[in-house]
Amino acid sequence: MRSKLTRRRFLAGTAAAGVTAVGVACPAIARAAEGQWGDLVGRFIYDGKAPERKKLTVDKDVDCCGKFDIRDESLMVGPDGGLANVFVYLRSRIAAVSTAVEKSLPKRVVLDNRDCIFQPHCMGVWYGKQEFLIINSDPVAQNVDFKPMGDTPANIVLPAYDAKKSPDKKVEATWKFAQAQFAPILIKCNYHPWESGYILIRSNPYHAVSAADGTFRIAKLPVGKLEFQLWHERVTYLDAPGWPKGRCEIAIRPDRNDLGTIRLAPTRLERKS
Amino acid sequence: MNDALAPNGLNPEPRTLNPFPALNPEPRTLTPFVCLLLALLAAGCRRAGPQFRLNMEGRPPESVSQQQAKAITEALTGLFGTPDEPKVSTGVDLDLELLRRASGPIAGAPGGQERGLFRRQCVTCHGVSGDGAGPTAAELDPYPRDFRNGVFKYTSTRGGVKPIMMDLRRTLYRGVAGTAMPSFAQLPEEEIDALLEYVKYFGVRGQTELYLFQMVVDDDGALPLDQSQVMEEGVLPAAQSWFEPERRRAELVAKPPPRPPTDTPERLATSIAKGRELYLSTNSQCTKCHGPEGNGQGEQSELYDDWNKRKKGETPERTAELARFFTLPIERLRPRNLHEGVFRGGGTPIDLYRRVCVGIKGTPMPAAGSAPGVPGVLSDEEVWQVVEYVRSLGGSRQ
Amino acid sequence: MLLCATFPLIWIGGLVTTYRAGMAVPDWPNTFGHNLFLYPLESWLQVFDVLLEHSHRLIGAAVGLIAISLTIALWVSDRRPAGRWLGVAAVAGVCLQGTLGGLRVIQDEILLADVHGCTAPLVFSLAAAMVAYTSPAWRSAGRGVTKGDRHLAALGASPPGEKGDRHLAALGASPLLSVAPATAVLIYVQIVLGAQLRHLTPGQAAGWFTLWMWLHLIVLGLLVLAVVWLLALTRRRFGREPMLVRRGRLLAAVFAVQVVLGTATWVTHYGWPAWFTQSIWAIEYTVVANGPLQALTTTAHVVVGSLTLVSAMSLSLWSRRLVSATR
Repeated sequence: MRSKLTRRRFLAGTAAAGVTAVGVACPAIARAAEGQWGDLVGRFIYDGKAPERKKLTVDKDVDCCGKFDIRDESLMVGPDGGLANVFVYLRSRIAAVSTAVEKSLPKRVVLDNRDCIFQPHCMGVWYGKQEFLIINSDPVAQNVDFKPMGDTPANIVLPAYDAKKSPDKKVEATWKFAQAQFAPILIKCNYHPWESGYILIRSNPYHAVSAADGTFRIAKLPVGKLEFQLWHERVTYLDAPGWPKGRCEIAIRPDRNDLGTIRLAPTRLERKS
Repeated sequence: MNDALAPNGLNPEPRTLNPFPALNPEPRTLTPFVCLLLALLAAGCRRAGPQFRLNMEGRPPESVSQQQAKAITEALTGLFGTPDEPKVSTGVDLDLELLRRASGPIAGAPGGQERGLFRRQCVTCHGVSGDGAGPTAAELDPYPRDFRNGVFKYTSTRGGVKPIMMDLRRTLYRGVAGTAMPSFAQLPEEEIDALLEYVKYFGVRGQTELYLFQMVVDDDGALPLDQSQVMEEGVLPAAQSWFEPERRRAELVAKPPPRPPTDTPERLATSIAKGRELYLSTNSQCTKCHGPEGNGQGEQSELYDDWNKRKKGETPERTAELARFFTLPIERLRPRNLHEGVFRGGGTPIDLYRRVCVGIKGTPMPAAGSAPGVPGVLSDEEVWQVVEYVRSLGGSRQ
Repeated sequence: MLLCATFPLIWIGGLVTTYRAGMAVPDWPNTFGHNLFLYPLESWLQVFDVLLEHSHRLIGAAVGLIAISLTIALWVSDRRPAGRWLGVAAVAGVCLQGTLGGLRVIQDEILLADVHGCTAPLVFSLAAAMVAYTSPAWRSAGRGVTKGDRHLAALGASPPGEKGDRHLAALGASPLLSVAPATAVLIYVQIVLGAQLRHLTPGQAAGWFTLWMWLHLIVLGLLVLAVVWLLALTRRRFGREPMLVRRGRLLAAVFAVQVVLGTATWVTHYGWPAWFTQSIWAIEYTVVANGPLQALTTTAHVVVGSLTLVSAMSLSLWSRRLVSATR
């Protein structure tokens, strides 16, 4: 999505000081070229008592999967109220990326079929620059099914991991995305219906998933006004205080930008369907 | 998702099966008497042709505002035209001549049929919008194909990509045995070409439409639309996805290797036995749906294809609620009973090879063969062995 | 003769719809600019659609001429006023059909094709009624002597008129008089419902077809009961009246054929239904679009539908006639 802020900044700049120190196309890039990047951090807190996670029906491959305590992962709240698995990402389509970030980025984003669930439950990938690697660490065949809008749908079968025969040879599949998506997409397993995961495919590295304690960090964003989106699987676009429809425009300053604690009332995370 | 915006009705054409659309009057379904009178009185007046319906599958009608619906419809009409007058944008490699022959009202010429091929042969099942919800669709099991997301079941392409034209041509020539999809082998070649082009057109248009819905409705995008963004992120990727398998034939099209010899009874028996072993193995997971006996009574009893999956809710009450958002009621998918020997995508050895190797797109049947980046579960030879086993179950018919 | 000429017209009309050749010739009453009767033979025979549509028009014109000459003959020879007006009605019917057909093409309107198809059996029935009306048996029935009476007389039984009156008097009170016309009307309803299944507009909502289909099946059930009842009635109660017995049997036979054709029509269009292939017998059948089997069974179903209507109508007319003969 082309950022509206480029036009606004341009008008504001000329109106205010009549000084155009920025390029015509993207002031954010010009600024960033000067070497100014900022991190965005914050923490999500579930402001209430976390309900008990429902036990999911494990009725397939029971001899292998039945021994795990598989529960619903749609609302993961830590002991001190930290809300995990909230996606925070940059809505703008175009944004400068520092070479440092590009270099430090992990080459692969890994989805592991382990203990009969997808691990991690939520992840993000910068398509074109990062490889999406899917492995199977389970002794049963697994399936990974996801359908990115406007891109090739996937329905991948991974044979079982034989720990005895070939312990260091895990079955791998790599997948290439051709397009960014507006929001995270669902990953399902056709063999084991209780499994689910979410992946966000973007055209830049500016996305993060909140950790178990609710904290997140997006490193080295270009300084300037940028619009961010919050997303959670229970409600999709996550309405939060100051974030109508999960959106907020934040002026990113150099170094550290701390959003502080964002408290979410339980009603904000009530499933719509 | 989004806060409910202006809950206006957005599309005058009824989406439901309600045959008495008193609230959503459809021009052609007034009582016959009144129609007769009007028709006779309106001599010389031409009514506007049918229009494409918006793809509201799975969306509550109130979730899309009239303004958004209008923006999407106008964008699509500007890019792709109407059922009577199709359009092709620059960068989209579709043959307008063929599209014209397929589209529009049925019109004859001294030399043969000029236009309206789709309306003549296909529309009663597939619908004017290619949505698989034509007039007769509700009575069919399985439902006619919804062309709009470009997913087809009986293909030869790996990795989930679009089918090659030969796959669709094959379906048109042979029909789909055991379903209402006829064989169009009687049609001349040019007419089949035109129909195939029109199906591709539906695919490109449909994918663009889905993109527009995501952009405008789901993501609450700004209006008026940025046309260059729509082209760059919606139309062109959609169009190019249809040419990808042709471009990368070697890696994306599953060309069955020569069938291993089964001339002697011993060889055949060995092949079948190996095939049975693979069929029953946990890696291939065939028994999950098709059952250990191959009679379709596997563990997974409630299966749905992609077009019906979304209609299923967690509870029966939820499913009943969801029905409001879809045109046709939910229809279950039945894993094939391999003993019947009736295979919809064709029962020849090569057909079965393709089914096992690349799977059946849009259904839970996965690809057992390899794809770019994906090692697959069965090697080429193993796929043939499974095919021999499957054929032995049904009593070799072809 | 009118009846015999109208019969192929209905066949070809059915084929036109089956092959969806209704708009093969976009102008009317000319054919691609040529006069109807002067369209070059090679061009006419070259394209299948044009062959169907153009032949339909030519035969229609022929039927019109026959109707006109028949009416003139009736006015001249037959003194009964009803007969004359029947003739006029027949001409009017054929003219209406022609106009409807022409308008259908000019307007490119499927609804008009629908109406055209629904009024065709009525015109056909009218022609059949004229056959009955102008037959000698009709007149002699009017004089109180029926075939049944003559049959009895031949057996040496009581003189004509006496016993005849008794069993025909029974006829007067019989439900046959109401059931037979009701059946004819129901058959016509069935034809109209069938026409709705054939003439579908592209943008129609899916629910309409389902509605027509279910109604068509419900009326089928009612018709099965009615036809069986009529067959029983004519055989048992009026076994001595061959006119009625024969018509009862004819109706039952034609109806049975129609039911078989109806099933075949569905299967050749949409394949064996899922509930059948899943639970009863998994037949491997692929529908062949525009295939000969599909086209013939569908068109035959349409035509035999008109025949069924005519059989029922004939039975009604004759039963009424024989009653009025006793009064």
